[in-house]
Amino acid sequence: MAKMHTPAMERIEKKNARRKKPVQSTPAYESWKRFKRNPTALIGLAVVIILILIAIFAPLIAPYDYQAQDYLSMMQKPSAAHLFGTDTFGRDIFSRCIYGTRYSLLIALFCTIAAFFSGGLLGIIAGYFGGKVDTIIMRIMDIFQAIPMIMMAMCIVAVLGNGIPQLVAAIMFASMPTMARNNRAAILRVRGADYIESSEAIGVGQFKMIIKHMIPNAIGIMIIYFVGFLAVSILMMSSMSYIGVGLAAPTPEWGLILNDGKAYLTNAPYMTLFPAMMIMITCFAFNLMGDGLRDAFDPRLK
Amino acid sequence: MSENILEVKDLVIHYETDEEVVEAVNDITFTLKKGQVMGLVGETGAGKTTTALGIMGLLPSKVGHVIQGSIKLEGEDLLRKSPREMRDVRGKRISMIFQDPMTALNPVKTVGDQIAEVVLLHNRCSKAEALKRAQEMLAMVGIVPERYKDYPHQFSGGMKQRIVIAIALACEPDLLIADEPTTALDVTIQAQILDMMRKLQKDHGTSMILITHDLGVVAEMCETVAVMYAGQLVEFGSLEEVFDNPKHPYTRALYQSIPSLDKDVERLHVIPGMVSDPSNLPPYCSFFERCDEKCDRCRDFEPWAVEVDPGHVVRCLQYTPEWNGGEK
Amino acid sequence: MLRYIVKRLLLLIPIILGVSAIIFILKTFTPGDPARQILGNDATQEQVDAKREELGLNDPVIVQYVRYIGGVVRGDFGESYRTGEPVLSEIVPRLATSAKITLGAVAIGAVLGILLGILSALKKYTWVDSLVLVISMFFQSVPEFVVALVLIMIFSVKLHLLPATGIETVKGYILPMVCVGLSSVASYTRITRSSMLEVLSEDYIRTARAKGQTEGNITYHHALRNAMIPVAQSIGTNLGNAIGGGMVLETVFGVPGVGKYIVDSITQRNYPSVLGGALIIAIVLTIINLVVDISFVLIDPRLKTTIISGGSKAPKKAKAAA
Repeated sequence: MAKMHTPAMERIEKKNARRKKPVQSTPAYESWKRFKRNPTALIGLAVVIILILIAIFAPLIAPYDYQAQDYLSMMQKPSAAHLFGTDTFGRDIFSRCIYGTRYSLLIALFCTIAAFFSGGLLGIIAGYFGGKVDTIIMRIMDIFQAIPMIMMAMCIVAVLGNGIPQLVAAIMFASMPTMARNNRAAILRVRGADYIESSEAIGVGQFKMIIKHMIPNAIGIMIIYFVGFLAVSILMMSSMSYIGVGLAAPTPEWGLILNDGKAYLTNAPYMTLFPAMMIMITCFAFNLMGDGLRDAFDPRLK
Repeated sequence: MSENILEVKDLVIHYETDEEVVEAVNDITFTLKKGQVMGLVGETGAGKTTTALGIMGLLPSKVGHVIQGSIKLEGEDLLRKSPREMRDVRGKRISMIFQDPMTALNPVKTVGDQIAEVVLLHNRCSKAEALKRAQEMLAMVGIVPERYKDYPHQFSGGMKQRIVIAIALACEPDLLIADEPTTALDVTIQAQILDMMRKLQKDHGTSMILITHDLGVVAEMCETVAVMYAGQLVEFGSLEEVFDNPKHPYTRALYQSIPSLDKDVERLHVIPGMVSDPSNLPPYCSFFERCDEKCDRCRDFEPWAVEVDPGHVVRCLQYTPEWNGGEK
Repeated sequence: MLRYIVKRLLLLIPIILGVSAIIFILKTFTPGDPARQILGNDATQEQVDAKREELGLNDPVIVQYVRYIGGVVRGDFGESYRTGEPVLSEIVPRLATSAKITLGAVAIGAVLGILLGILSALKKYTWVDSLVLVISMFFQSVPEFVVALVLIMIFSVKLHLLPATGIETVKGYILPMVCVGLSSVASYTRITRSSMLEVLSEDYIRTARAKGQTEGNITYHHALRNAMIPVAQSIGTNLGNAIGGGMVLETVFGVPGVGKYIVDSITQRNYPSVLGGALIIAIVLTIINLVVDISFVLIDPRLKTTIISGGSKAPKKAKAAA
């Protein structure tokens, strides 16, 4: 009840009445509530889930083996038999794109995890301990940052060779400064918060402090970076493969499939169209989701 | 023309978001006579700043809504004015001094430019004349005029507040709203700024609303006092009436919580409980839970304003016929 | 001010030392024997050993590093395996080409991004805001080379307006610039939007409103200059990305710039050219970033005082930049 009734109040009362029982409000629940209200973020999430399902059930979905060559049906236009057409070796592009989902998502996931365990961890350490540790780590990161990310990755691939582990290592090293910087900022923001100072004042142990207070509060921001970096690594990976310094054939990675088709751009555009669409849809979905997460975890930024 | 510069009547302001409606100002009515200083007192969240922003027409867009009431400046209802007309009012007829001088000035513009800006907006004059006026204003608030070329970060907090005051007074407004002008400053500087404000107010005959939670400041500066609690004006009257003869239990409790040099007490009086949640106010007196003069009847009514003495208005059930005898 | 510039210049030294250390480490990991690479497969083992001695490859790693640094200081970034020419002299003419594309791209990206960012900040929470967000995110999600392919399809193959490859005419620059530029639009839009929103909620904006200032003037005179500070600071990072994106696109468009040189060298296993090229770009980038940093001082008067007075207590925004 209130002093004065307005339509806005009735609207909210109705909304509250619809809610079955008062839910205990935790930060995570609040974030989910904000995320749920964001239609574009939900679309992103749905697409990401579909992509994950495609990746898991790739063998069931793909009608052909991704490397089966069929010289009787080379460079066919999209048809009922070959949804996305076939490439110069007569391989079914649809199957390659489906398997490509598996490879691209997995490699992106590896890259992101690796990046978090290298650069991310360094950033957390720098942010948490501050002082000299912080200075040393961040000065080293400055040095790494002097080389543009994709150039660094290419140099590493050039030296180590084309292959999935090499690519993961390359993207990991290349992204180290950015990762460190982002995670450090996340920790610093939490560290500066009043409740950390108060728990320090009442003598909460350092380890306990990191586990119980800082990580949970920084985790929202880190999830945003995590999802964002998945898109970045897919983009980097495909760009590198496309110009021939990423993965080696015949891995069905989207950038490589594009590379296979680039010579036939004018007379067989479907060979590049479909893998390009896959990259676009995937990155778009990750970015939409990441943006929704940003609003959900960090409403101040909006 | 009436002798009242400002008449606020039945003003209700709500903040509406998707999640809740905050009843920031609930049905307040007061008048301010020309040349007078009114103190607007109350604790944090009582709706003092919202009232001020409402008068200025600066409520946060989309969220802040004036639900009902009127705000009359010399008889003209400000709420009926177009945004364009309001722009002519702001800075020229009503000015406002904000709470935190550290952030109230644009960091990338010189203070001279920032004072000249308001002069240029409301007067037909050249940039040079405006800058000259800016220097006069700086001198008036006790800053060397030559410093008009300096940037805000080159001044201390107290100096910045002087500059903010200079901006507010540059067009000689009829009404000045000062929103806790000294809260963010050191105690020693507080006194200087208040002295200066009082002097400028006297010299120019400006009417002023002084928002504060410091009763000492009110006692020194104001002629009338309005006490706000949970968005309502619980007591309004002249300084003498409200200070010497407080009627509302909240006002009385406020005085008891001021430390006194005469009496030696172990602990200061604390008003028990918390301020009511402004997004969920009770249908009866908002102060009920914390009141030590309440009776059972208080739960049944929303108290209405009663004029206990001429010009002294209290919003408490005990001054109405509904009050059924002192169960104090 | 001068002291600040000198100080910042001195900070270049550890960065260049560090970058060259990274490159040097990569160099020691390169497969194959450089001596054998230079002499070719026909050379005898004795010749190779002699060449190794001559190149100093048998010395301790530290000695080799010091010698490498000595070379870098003198402008010796190694010699191309393919041509035997110094990497520096091969790269310098290409730098100009790459610089033109990068600058054009940054200009396109920044102008579009800042305009879109201001638009969506002023129209926050409306459909305009959402549309701008989706468009900029779209360009963030499409690999540059895909945009390039689509633009080639439209403007070169179908409309015959612009050349698909090469920069023999000025027209040749347009597509690469646009492609690299579009990929950075999202980043500028986002920074501008959030910085604008933050500035618009500042107290001094309210002060300006209290003066009776119009919304338009508030946006342009009070908000914009303050909001541009973080945007300008992001140009450094975006420049790095633009150079990286340029590497890929130079290859797609067949533009003879540094990027294509390095990518070609990678496929030819021409390691000195790859690593030397990377080092040169890193140094150039570092210097550009320094220039960008110094130019902030001119935008933000708060920084000037802190720097001149040598105070360590930099204002909030300056700290974020460091």
